[in-house]
Amino acid sequence: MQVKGGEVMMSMRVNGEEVKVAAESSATLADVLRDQMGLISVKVACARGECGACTVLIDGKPRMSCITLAGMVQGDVVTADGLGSEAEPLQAAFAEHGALQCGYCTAGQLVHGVAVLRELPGSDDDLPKHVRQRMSGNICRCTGYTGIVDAICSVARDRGGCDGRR
Amino acid sequence: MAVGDRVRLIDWRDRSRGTTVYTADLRAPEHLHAAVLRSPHPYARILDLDTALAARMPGVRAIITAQDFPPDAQYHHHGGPLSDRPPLARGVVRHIGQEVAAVAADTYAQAVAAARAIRVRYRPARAPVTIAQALEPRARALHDRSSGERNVSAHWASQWGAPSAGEAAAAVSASATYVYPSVVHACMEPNTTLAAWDGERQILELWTSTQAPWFIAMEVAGLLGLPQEQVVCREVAAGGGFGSKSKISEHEVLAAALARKAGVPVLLALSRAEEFATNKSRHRFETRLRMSADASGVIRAINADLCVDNGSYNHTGPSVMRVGVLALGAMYRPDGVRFDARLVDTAHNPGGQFRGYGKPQVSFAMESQVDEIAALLGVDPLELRLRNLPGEYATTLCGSQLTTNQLGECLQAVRDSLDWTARRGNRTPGRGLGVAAAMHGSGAYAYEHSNRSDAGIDVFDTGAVRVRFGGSDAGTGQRTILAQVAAEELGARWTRSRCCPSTAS
Repeated sequence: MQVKGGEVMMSMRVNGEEVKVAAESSATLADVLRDQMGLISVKVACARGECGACTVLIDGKPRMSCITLAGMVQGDVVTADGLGSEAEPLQAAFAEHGALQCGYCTAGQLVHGVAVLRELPGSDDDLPKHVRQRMSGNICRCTGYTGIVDAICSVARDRGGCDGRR
Repeated sequence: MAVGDRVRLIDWRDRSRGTTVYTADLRAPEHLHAAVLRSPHPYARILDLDTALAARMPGVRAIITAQDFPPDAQYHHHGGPLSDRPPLARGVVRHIGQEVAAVAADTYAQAVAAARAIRVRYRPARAPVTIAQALEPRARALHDRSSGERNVSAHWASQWGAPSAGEAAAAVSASATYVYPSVVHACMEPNTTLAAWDGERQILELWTSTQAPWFIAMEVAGLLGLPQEQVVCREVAAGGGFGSKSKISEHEVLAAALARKAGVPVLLALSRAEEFATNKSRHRFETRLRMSADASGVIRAINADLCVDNGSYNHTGPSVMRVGVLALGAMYRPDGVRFDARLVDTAHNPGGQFRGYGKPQVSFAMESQVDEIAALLGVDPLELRLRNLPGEYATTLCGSQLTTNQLGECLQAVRDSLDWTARRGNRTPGRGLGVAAAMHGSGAYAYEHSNRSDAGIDVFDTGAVRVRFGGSDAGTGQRTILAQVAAEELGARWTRSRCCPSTAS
């Protein structure tokens, strides 16, 4: 529906709530989440889909909101704010393993990490390699990544490991 | 007690969930958006600058050029004749990306459109963009420098100890040039400033991504002609620094001048492209090194010719060069060191401070050559370093007074825990094992007032403690550490200590 100028009315489901926003048809999902809805956990660091700081879940899949057109989004959008208690063990593990310093990339890491924890590989032996590969699109300039991988693996193991998922 | 305990970052819940507020996240005060017009030329005279058309563009609220600053306004940096950069180009541009004008408008898109509509007439000219070009006899001089050499901003040639005696005693020597290219910090958070000007009280408030709020306040005050106490940096998180945000950049004062002119707060957030193009990267060092050692494997003399690529303005170039040179006389114990170092002006984006501050560049050259000396002597490179340890409680050639020195224990621990000898013998294509050593002095005593620190402590009747300090925490844990110190000193439970950086007035 046209509103004014280049703006269109968009409706989507964000963190469990139906929302309607008027935004430029060229607006990215990151723009809408940050500017219209005040969800500052969505960080725009590269604005070209390379760093992963803007990662959100769309129908459970990690997506980079800075290169996703808001008007094209169908499905449930979940940001770090909407992860609820599911993210708490991973937050604590991040703190324990030195997986965050400045914090600018961390919400994106958390969102992606939660998604990784929902789909573990078949064997614990493959876990660190799997996590490293899955998280490779999320850049961190402070920590050197080892803490992030260790934190995600520790939560997986606390839940009974890969075998425990079956 | 809290000090020495392993604790989580004090604000780990917010930082890990994304609720920590960085400058670009601020919604209040309500603000305009800014864009910067930058030079497309490495070097050019500005013949004419016309903002009339841009000023009539939709949404435009303020445009600033060099004329909006005092005619002699320059960044202070190292001060005196070393200060050389105006806040906006004044008559000449010296690198691609140099700030020429800035616009504040209702939206970012409007600001960008208006910046593009500013008409600048340039007369481009050839200018040196590499060290070699800058040192050619007929190269254009980018500045009027006091070193006596064209395009040499600073020249430091000297010696420590007795290098000639060391060379006379040597059995082998290695000679090579080592180039450490410029490197950008690429902080996850782009440089961003929100500035608000209170015309009635003549107070400028800044929310800025910085590691050093006091530095920012001092420089911005100087550039705007304000007393320092009228510039206040407010608490906001900083998303990585690695040194790049430990001095002033350019976005801070541009946002401030726009806010003052518009009478409305202004947000200036650099794009990622601007970050890469204009951030003060690690200086490129070209180090020609000749190291000599005797038959027993003791390094006896070091000779170095260094050229540091300053870029178009000084910034921290003079001190980065100095700190880099100190690396020649910090490790090991040669009879003497001789050096000849030049900070060379080139027409590209200036270098700046990046963790290590010149030391990584020279350490890279030194440690590469120690390995070459080891190869010439047929000695294991780790073993060679063990033969060259400086003593405890010694004064190094560059003047550092050592107390304890556990480099030997450190190297032996590396040798043992890596199974060094066996793995060095077992060569696999594409895999390697190496060792390097370095020393770095704290920057806390590098210049006047640099070791100054202030903190205020509020004690509440609930038993909670709040520490207010004039520093910043770009992810390096200062807030956590200060809360631990306060808890230790006051006997409060550390989890009830809060810590907020602020320069309140």
